[in-house]
Amino acid sequence: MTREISSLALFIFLIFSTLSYSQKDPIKFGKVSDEEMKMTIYDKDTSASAVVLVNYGTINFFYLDQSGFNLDLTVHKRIKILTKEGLDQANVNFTLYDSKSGDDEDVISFKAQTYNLENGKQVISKISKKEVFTEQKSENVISKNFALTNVKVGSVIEYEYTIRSPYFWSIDPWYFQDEIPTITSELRIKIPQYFTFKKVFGGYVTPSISEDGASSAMFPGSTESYTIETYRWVYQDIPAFKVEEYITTPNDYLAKVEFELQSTQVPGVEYKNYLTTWEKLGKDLMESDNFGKALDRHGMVKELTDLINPNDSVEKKIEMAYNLIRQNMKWDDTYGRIFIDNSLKSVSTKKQGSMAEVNLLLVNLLRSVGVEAYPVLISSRSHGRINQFYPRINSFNTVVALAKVKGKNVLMDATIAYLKPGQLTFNSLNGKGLMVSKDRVEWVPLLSSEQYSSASMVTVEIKDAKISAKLVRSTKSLEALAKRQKIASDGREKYIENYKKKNSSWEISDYTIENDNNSNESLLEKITIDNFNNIDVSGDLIYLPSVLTDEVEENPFSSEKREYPIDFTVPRVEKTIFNIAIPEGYLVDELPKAISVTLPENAASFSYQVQQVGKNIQIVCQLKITRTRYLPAEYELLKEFYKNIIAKYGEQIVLKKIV
Amino acid sequence: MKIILSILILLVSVGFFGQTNYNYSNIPDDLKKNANYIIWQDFMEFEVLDIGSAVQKVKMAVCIVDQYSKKFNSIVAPYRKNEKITGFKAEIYDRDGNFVKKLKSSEIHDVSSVSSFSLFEDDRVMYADFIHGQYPYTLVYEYERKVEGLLNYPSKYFQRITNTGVVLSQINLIIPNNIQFKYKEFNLGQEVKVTDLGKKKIYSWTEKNLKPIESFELPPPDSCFAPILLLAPVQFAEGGYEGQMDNWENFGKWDLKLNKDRDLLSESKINELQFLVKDAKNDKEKVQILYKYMQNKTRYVSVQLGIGGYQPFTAEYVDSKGYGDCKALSNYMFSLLKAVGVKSNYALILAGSGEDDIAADFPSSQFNHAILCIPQLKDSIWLECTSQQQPFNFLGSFTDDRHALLITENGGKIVKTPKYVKDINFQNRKAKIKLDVDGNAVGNVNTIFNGLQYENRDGWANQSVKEQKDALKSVYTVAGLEINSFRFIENKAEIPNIQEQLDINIQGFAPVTNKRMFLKINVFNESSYVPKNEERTHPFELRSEFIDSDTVQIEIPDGYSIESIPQPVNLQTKFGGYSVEILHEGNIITYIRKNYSEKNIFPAKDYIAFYEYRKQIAKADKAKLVLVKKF
Repeated sequence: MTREISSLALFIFLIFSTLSYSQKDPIKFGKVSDEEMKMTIYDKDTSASAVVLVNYGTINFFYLDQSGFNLDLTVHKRIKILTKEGLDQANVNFTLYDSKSGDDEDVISFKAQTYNLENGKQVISKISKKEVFTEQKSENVISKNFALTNVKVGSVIEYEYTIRSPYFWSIDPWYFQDEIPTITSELRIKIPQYFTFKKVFGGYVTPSISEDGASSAMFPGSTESYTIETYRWVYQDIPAFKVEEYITTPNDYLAKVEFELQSTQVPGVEYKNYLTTWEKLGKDLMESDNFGKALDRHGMVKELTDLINPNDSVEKKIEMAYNLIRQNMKWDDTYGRIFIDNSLKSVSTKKQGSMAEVNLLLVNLLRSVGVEAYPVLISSRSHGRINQFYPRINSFNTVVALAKVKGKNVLMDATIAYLKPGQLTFNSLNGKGLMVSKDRVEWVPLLSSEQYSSASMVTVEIKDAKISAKLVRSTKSLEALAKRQKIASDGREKYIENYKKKNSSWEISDYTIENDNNSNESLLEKITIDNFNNIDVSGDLIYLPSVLTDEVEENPFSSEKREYPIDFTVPRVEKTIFNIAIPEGYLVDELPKAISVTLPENAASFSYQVQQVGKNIQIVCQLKITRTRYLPAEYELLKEFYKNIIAKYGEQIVLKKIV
Repeated sequence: MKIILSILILLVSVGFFGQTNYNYSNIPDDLKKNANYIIWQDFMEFEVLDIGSAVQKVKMAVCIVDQYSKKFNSIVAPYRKNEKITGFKAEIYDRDGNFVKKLKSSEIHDVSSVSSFSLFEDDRVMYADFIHGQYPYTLVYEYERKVEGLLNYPSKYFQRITNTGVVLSQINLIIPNNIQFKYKEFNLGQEVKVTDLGKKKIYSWTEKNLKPIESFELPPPDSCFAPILLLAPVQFAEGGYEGQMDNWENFGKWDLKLNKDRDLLSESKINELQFLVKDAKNDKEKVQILYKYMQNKTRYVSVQLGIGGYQPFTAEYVDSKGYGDCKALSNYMFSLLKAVGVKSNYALILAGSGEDDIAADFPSSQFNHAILCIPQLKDSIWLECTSQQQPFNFLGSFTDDRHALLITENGGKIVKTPKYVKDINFQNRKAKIKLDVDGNAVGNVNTIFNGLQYENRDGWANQSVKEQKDALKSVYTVAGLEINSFRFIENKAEIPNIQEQLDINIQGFAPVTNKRMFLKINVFNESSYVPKNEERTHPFELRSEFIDSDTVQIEIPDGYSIESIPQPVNLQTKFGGYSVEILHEGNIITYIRKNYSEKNIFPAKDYIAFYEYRKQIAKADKAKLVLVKKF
């Protein structure tokens, strides 16, 4: 697709004259105010190590005879260094695309300098373009690295560079937010009427100014004019971005704007529309050699097709096809792109491919044995959330497979051992995915067929001054996946060893694991504990913890304030039942109180029930998280919820000797 | 603080195609047990051409057992700017030893290799991601590197990494008779074989049938148990500088050559510096003033180009740019002191908290960092020059208690850096807590972190309030803890300390039932670490020494009396000591805990005793106190 657009540029023979904004630039290189020089603290965040005074970006299109359209991005940044930690801001790098074919991005101008106050006078230390190092990061990416000189606490540093890019249809996102606070971040972009870009905003900060307008320009040597759309966004007092627990990826939370080319309409050239709707996007994909067309090509996996009995039920075929792909294809650990880089045939001979390639191969195999199957485009959690209002191919980074069974959707990912049809990994469970077929697209919720769930049964006995227990734990779904992967990578022995280590004071005499290789069943762990050495059960009074096993003791939400939503990803249920036999000669003196805590609308619940039944104490303890996303405003609620759980774990059962 | 001196990483060794049949079933069982990788053949040939150049041939055949073993997913060939990698080839064989595929040259990448702590280095790396989906399989690869600059000869770790079985691992050094070299062996099974080729000789070391070593806790230095060969030149040339490594003195002379005339400062600068120290009463005060000057003027920026990996940028350069790496900044500090007539020595060291020491009896380039030493009649002054925050004359765990090579006018001299003994590394905590009838607590906790334990809070004082609170909550994991206010008082003395004062309340500190309250008494300093319960074959090392003492005073609410109280504990061992005492008087309970640790390497036979010791500590630290309502 990229190449198509670039050739289009050659049809255009326009020269755009430069335009000036009515607005003044927010910053002028070299003009640092006294106030900026004398600043010692940023009062909106007094602990800031440095603060971005201004970050100013301008993006302009222009035309060059020899190379067609180009794009200039100018970044102009001024930073105040407030503490020694802030000195790191003076080491800067930015990356460029290096095509190896001559169509490279170039730095066409570069300025950088440091301002210090010495005896009340501003002293400037400059660096030149020669002091910028070029690091070959990978085949197509180079990094420009430079260090400003004479930077001390109190310095103001400033740099400005312009990158000229022939890839005018690909504008990098502009980030208004930084790891340090920013006083002003401004972006201006001028787009000739011939191009329409979609502008997609992200983050939790809103702009203080958002303007658009138009100006006109004349073609050189002509009285004909054309329009230039102008945009200007100003953000002010943007807090530093700090990563928190339970978020998808920082990119989903940073204040930014992204650009996607929507259409081109050039005089004398046909109007071109790029990915205006999800439907169109799906259709284009299905017509692409590197995606849709490959799906119905037969004979990709002939030897596997032959292993599936055409007379089997759909369910059986799915299971067979899924297992065959999973066992025969190695995932190369990359999400790849949603397109296939290699033909499916070569993927199948190499027995190795990206996640998209492996799952497209699965769709191909399913179709070749007569199962209705489709690719589903997804964005992994590490890639970020999808904005359904902005159809963009870049929203997605990989593909899973979907089969229809009696009208129901079965999602599949054949890259991971120990998954089964109906399950996706944690990283894939990110909102919705786009199912694409020849004639339509459909959003499908990315859910695993089961919850994160575990159930344990613990039978406790006290005898001869020892407290022993038998623990049977059954784990399903993603929790089981995590355990199975751990068992496979560490080996059973090591896995058990690690458990013993975590509970080092227990004497564990037996530990068996069942179904670790059979993902159709729950994973079973049976543990025999001969003695909990950390509990003394010999005196007249016996104190037993209210929960005897390895449960949470720390509140996962200890931070005082939460800036961003909390995302648990998957609903979960953990249930434990304890049966404690009251030893001969003892009576129950006191039991913990039963409690039940529920968040509004049953979003999450915790219950602890306890009763004495004859010579037994029975405890049923259950934690359930149904709703997976919580707003920062609900943080206190969650924190309180966990506090209750932990308080309950701190209580004890008291048994008393009969006198 | 950052590590520097781009060391030639030659740990990457070798294997050989040959006629071997890479059939998995041919591997002896004891090499497969606990193995993630089995090395069929790991072969390196290092042919010294002259004192400054060599040809290194790397050949490797390794069986990768399963998909979780990813260390060989990339084949990596590092090289330097003026060097060349040729003959980069790789093939894959399946479980039965049948050929599967060959690496295409288009799959080989050639990129910069810049360490994460550097702004720029001119080192390069060639690499290829080359895997196969069906396990186990064998990867065979080879390449040849033209080596320029021979400050280092390759070292050989015959068993490279944990969980690796080795069928055969070999290194051949081919060297002309007129060039001397030296070697040092650790735990080798076989002796060196020498073959005379007339004008040159082949020295060959081979290790066979090495069973996989599992990673284990508290490892002593590798040289205590792993088969390792160190090689080093005697005469060498690097970046146009020739030198001798027969002893430390001569090695130091080579470094002296590199630093020659790089300490020059302008006349006006020298005057400025002399003016700065004009009121100083003695040399130490001068050093203090100029250290502060240097810390405020410079920052750490690492740029490594060619010989610049070993040679500092000039003092003039640092002075005009306001930055440098450890070599440049140490040399700069050296120059500042020289300008005011204070003599100091640039010093090379192998830095890193918990890093093994160098082989001090094997003069060779084993360093990754530079610091500065100012000799005094008693107790030299040591300066870490890459940090703007480091207390004066405090090396910290990054460079303490190890060998350093002083570069003196007369050449190199090996000395030891200061050791911080356990009495210095103390953590002293006093807490006062008042408990109410609902089990909630309010109180204050004051802790002093001294010596190396200062590092427990190093840098905290400069963070944002939110970060500080989060950091405090990550070390004090008491459920329900709220920090109402806090303060850090930092004292950047030569033995630095930091005082942490917290005003806290703990909701639900002591869960309450109808009759009772359950009180976990040691909530601020719990040691739950217990090593693995296993038969130990290797020695184990405790890498730090310290003393912790905690006194927690708890006022219990009226109407409650003590029903159960943990027994006192007193353990004294060669590993350290631990004691707990709980006093109660009226409604005041005082918990006194002392825990100290010794730094040492202990023989394997002591391991069980250590395990028992830690187990008892873990249990005692969990102890609970039970209060019961009075009737």
